[in-house]
Amino acid sequence: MDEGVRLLFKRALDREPALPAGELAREARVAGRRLRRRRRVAVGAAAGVTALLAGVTAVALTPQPAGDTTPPGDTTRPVPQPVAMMMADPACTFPAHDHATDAVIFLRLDITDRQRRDLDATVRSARTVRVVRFASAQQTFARFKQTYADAPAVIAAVKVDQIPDSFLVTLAAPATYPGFLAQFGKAGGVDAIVGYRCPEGLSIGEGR
Amino acid sequence: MTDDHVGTPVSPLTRWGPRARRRERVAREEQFTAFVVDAAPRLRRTAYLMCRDWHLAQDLTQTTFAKMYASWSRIRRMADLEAYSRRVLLNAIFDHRSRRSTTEIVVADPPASPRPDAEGTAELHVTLMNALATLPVRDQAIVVLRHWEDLSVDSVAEILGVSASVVKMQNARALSRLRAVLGDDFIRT
Repeated sequence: MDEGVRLLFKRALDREPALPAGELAREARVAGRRLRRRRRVAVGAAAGVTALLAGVTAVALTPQPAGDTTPPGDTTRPVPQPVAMMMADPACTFPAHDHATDAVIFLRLDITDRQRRDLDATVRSARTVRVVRFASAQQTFARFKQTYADAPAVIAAVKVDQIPDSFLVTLAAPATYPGFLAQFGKAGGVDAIVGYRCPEGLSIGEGR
Repeated sequence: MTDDHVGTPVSPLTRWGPRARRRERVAREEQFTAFVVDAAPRLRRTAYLMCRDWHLAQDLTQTTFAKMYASWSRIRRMADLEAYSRRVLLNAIFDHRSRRSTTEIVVADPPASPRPDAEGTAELHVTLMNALATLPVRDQAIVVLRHWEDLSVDSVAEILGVSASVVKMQNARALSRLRAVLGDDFIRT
């Protein structure tokens, strides 16, 4: 290793202030609990967890009428934080608008079989996509229960049929994300797309 | 069934009782504190070398720990918590940078020393830090992780989510730019 650079770095760190590690741990706990609570509050909020999860795009937090007329997927509509969060490793950041390495395509609850087949074929053959994995509502629900294991009330309020299916995608390259969005953002049966920036080894499409 | 009243010796059921859960929680909390005490100096130094601001470095370190605490019960048994924490920190740094660059029009780093070259070798580390700040953020990360944290090319590649050859290439490019500023004596490859 390069001792010259290391030595200079060491010198640059010379005036390191004292580190209040105990205080740091305490503050991290407070902030960490807040993060966890935000997850939970967001899930349990409003017209109930159900409305939130029924169609990830129920942004207005109002229960969606059956056969609703929301336009097809458009990435400007946010996916509820707790849902988006649990789809990826915590080391991934989201929503990544540029340089996303990974993405999740949430499908509409009322997607038709035909739309699903078309989408499956086009996602798998898209040049912007490196790996893709289908996540059934059941799988996502299992993950949901695991993620919110410390909030039994939240879990009890959610039924598997309120959770959408999704495609978990690892992109060919971060630069391809805009092309990916353009191709799939408005495709039939797509509810929303969330971009993630994940470190290698934590690719959404490759599984955990 | 319920003869596990106060004072009785440990019944087999206490393993799943509230007292056991409390013990488990205490152990979890203690492990977190120990992890923070152990990892904080390292993370804060790495953050400082990339942002040249101890206060910000500490904030980024705390953000890292907060994120980890939020998922602590899930991640605490991971084999390599240290590598994990580095990934979370680097992501926090990149995030901070990209947020800053979208809210600020010009990012002009104030020179830490007015005339670095005139100060002689004693201030060479200032020159290095200034030169480092002119590199793209991911190149900075590569230099710091490789040459301060002493990580292998593969580990750096994993943290940054790029291939090992990209790390090698960008490291060489970054070093040659630093060498141009510092002179050959200080950076050999």
